[in-house]
Amino acid sequence: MKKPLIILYLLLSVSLFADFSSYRQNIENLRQLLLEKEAETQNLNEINTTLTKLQKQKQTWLNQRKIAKLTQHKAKKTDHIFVIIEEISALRKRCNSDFNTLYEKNFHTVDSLIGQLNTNPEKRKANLSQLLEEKGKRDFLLNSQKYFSTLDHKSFEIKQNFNVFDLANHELIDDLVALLESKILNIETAKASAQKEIKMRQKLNNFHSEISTIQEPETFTTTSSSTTESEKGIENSWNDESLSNYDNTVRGASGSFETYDELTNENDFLILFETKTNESMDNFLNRMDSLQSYYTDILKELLKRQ
Amino acid sequence: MARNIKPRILYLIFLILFAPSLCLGNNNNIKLSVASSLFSDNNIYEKINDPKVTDLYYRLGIKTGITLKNGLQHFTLNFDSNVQNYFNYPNENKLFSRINIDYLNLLNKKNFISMTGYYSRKNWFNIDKSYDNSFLNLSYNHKSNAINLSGNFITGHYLFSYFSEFDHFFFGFSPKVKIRKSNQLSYIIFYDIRMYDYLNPFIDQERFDKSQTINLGFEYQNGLIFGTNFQYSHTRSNYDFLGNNSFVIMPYLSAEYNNFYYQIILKWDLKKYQNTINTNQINLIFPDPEANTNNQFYFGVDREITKHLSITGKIIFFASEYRFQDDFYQKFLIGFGLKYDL
Repeated sequence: MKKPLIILYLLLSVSLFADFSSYRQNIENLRQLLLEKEAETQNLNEINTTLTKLQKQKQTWLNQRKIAKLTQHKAKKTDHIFVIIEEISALRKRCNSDFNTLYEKNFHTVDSLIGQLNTNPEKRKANLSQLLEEKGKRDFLLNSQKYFSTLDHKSFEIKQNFNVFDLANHELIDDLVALLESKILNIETAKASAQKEIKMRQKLNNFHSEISTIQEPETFTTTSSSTTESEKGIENSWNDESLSNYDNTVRGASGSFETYDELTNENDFLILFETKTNESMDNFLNRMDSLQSYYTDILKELLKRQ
Repeated sequence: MARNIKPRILYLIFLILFAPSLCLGNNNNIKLSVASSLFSDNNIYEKINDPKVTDLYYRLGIKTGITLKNGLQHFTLNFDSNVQNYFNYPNENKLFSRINIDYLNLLNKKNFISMTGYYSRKNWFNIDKSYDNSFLNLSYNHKSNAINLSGNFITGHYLFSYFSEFDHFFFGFSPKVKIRKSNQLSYIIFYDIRMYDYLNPFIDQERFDKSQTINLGFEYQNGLIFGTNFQYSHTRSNYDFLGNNSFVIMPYLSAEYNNFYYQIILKWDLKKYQNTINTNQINLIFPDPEANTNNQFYFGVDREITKHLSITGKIIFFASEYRFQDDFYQKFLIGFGLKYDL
């Protein structure tokens, strides 16, 4: 009798203490699991195709051996897919429950912030900034639903409380416009400095490569261990928080694995281990771009409504 | 066979290999770079004592690379070729070429295997001197968001030189850990062990060397890039006089100021031999005195004129070991030129 109560208590406490960052992490894990499942299913399909082909051919000893090996491999893959499906299912439940808690919490926070905006002009700027943050959270929550809910998740009632801005309050709108403009400007500055760092990295990589041929690189008495092309390729994935290269590779999208910014080789005599590519910075720039267009869209909308 | 190829023919072969990248133009999977520069070298024969010979040389470097992708497999092929022509001492004219092949296969989202093949050749145009260098490396790697582990579980190397005494083979193992502390700060730690077997030793006794290295390094990136590696190496040989300990510090920097990009790389090697024999004939340690062995300083500056074209300048200083153990020569190079990147 006690066990279900404990589980209920645990579920409740999990939901009550759900926080946004762990929800984000769970969504990322879920996304990766979905990708892994897709890749594994693709592999399984390939194995099935090969098996069918082999079974149609003459049953020589070699063929039979191949079939046996492939069947073994197929069983392993299937087991793995089942494990992934179980993990996905558990994570989906968790995400769904966290979503409900967080969305509700977000709704009330936004409500109270909007209330304060219209009544307390002194704290308006700070509240507006927090309000933007909460809006970002809500957009993320709504977008992330696709990972754990069924296709017709429209049944969930989306509460909208952002439309209750008092547009007649020009001071408030002016403050909001100023805030958005300053955010966009800050993003511009961050992007410019990231682009400069990308360039510096390229220049250092090129310089390193070039000087390694000024004289014959030495391989005798010291041990070189520079980053190889392959490593650089994979470092793109490593540096990328969301493993988007794996994502792209699995999905066949272009732009993944920029394996060289310049040439290096195993005999490079200086261990510039950071002959890494700019992939992490590129991802940062992409994130900044999307954030910038997000704020720009809100700004445009506001200016239109003004 | 490879030793008999004339440098000019080899260069022609390389140019033919470059041709596809020139024709295909600016493709994401194809890279091309051409650097043309003029250098002043104050010690072209790497002499330890005066008088030293100074000359100007013209240098043309071409490099190109192509990447092919097929699902989770990636294949990269790079060519790199550099010609050096001296104004007054044509005997020193040379060609340095290299090919690098990389293959990687993602096993799953956190693990991959990779293979690197390398071949380089150095030819003198007007004298019969050359050597080849080849390298094969297989490794298994694990990566996660904050930590990257890799193990070069087989590293094989084969070298032919015009001094056959230095023809050797080595294999080794090198576990490596990279830790990303934050976006600004990262660390690297690795250990490397290599066993060398010399095919035609210069004393009538088989030669075996064993070298062990430990490296600790960090890099900081925030408005500029700055990093330093500290490396300790211990080399043992059954030729007693070759055994040595070495402590190396390698700081590097990349920065930008007023649209000029600056790079500095320094290698400071404190090398100490365990034993010393005074007979130079026996103490011969390396066939090519031009090889980068010990102390080096590089300063580079670069200003972009257009998106693809830039003016470059370099100041280089070497204080490296000569053919004979513990004998150091000094060399100072200054150069400038143009660089085109597609």
